Amino acid sequence: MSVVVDRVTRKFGSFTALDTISLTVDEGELVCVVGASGSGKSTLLRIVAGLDLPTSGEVRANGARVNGPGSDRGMVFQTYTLYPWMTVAANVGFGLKLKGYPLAFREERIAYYLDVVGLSEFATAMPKQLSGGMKQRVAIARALANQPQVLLMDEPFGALDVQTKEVMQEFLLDVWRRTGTTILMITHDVEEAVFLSQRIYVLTSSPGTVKTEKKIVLPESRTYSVKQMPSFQQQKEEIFDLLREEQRKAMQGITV
Amino acid sequence: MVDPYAKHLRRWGLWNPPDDVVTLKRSTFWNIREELPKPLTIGLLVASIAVPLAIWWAIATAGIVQPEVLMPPPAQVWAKGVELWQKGILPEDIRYSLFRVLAGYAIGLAFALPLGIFMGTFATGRWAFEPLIGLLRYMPAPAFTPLFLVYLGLGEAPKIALIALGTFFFNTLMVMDGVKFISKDLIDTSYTLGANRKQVVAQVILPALFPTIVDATRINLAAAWNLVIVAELLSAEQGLGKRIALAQRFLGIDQMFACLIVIGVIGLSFDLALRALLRFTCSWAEDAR
Repeated sequence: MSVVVDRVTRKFGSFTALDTISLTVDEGELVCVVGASGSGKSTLLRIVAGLDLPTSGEVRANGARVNGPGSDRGMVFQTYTLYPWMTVAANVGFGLKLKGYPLAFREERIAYYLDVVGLSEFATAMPKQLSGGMKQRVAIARALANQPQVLLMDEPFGALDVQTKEVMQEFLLDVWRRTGTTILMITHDVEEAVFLSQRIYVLTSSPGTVKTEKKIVLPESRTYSVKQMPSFQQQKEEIFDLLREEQRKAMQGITV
Repeated sequence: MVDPYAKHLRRWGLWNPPDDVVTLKRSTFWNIREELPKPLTIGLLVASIAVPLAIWWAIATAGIVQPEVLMPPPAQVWAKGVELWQKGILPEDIRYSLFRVLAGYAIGLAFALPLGIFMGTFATGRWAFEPLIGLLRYMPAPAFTPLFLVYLGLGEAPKIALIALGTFFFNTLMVMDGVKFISKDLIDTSYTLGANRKQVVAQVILPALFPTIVDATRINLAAAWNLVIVAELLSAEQGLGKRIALAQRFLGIDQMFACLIVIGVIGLSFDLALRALLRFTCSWAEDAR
């Protein structure tokens, strides 16, 4: 198994963000975690990345206990985190440069992953010149260039407009199929989760635990038209219902 | 109050729109944080120099100030400036003052940069140094001049030390603040790409700071110019400050004016040059000026 989250609890003072949460991501899988606000889903991803440590429990990546961030767990943030002073190509090659790979080797990989994300002709552009969707594609290429065991994505398309978002979702599926990368993605967008995932974990709200784990049954090669299918709608509604319940509980928690 | 009949009045064409609608009037001069039309910009730019010059000229030639030696007209100041230049006095003064400013600033920055990065990057650095820096920066640098004269003698050292000290604190704090403004996500991204802490400081924080450093230099060089004049007024053989102090002895107001203007022009040139540098090298920054 690629990623195992084993009974992880994370407390901030007396506040419990995550409560004995357990989940797994298999090699080559694309798994989404959906949850209402306050379900601690971003905290969960940060713990998998090693950017935050659990209060109890542990995360294992390829069998090894996670103690800190590493290049085996690449991450894409919601905020555009390109290095603004580097060209697109330099951004993509930064992880390889950190590891001390020679220039020729880097250039080859950069070219390959720029091609994967369809931005070869923007190799010498600066991040400032790119649109939001393009920036995220560069960020994805940059993470993939390290050939990580798992790609962690924290609401990567959350800041994009609806049209761009749809294109990016199909794009991500395409990249996933072509590279076979294991992906663990956090989102609050149920439609996005159903469209992309093979499995979905629905989290409860404060504290976050796994409410349900759900296998998504959809055709292997998904294109945008899948969203019109009754079975897609039905699976989406099921998850929506679960989340609505949580949202209501959370709202009551606020008013009481 | 909501008019419950508005719907019906509208239908019958009897509805009067509310008379309390507020709209923003068009304006040429007073658009907040917007640009002016180009000719107007140039006009204001020219007037901002020409008008004060004209007022100065008018006051000097009208003979309001008595005795007249106290208020030399622009032409006389110009002539004095040219004379000082041709005698080689002015170029030498400029050379001395400029050297002190640049040497002092460079030394100050050489200490401020690592310390500012250390304080901005690590809580360890911040808590170890911020209390002391916070206290020291409220001590006016010119007040240290006599101390430096005692410690370092009368040569270049005390003047350069004063400028280094005077710009050191502000540079440190500005660099520290600059580090704080680097997005935490950018640093976290670097970790997930496999960077260690040393690499984050050298390859992420340092390049991200470059615009901050240029900007801090732009602001703190002005402070350096203030300090060099203070130092030269107190003790020097050459320098623009010294030239002004000497002029006082024989009431050479024209010489004072000439030197003051030269100081201003040099400062402005630095400012414009650094702005150009910022535009040229930091075009990648979202808010490059």
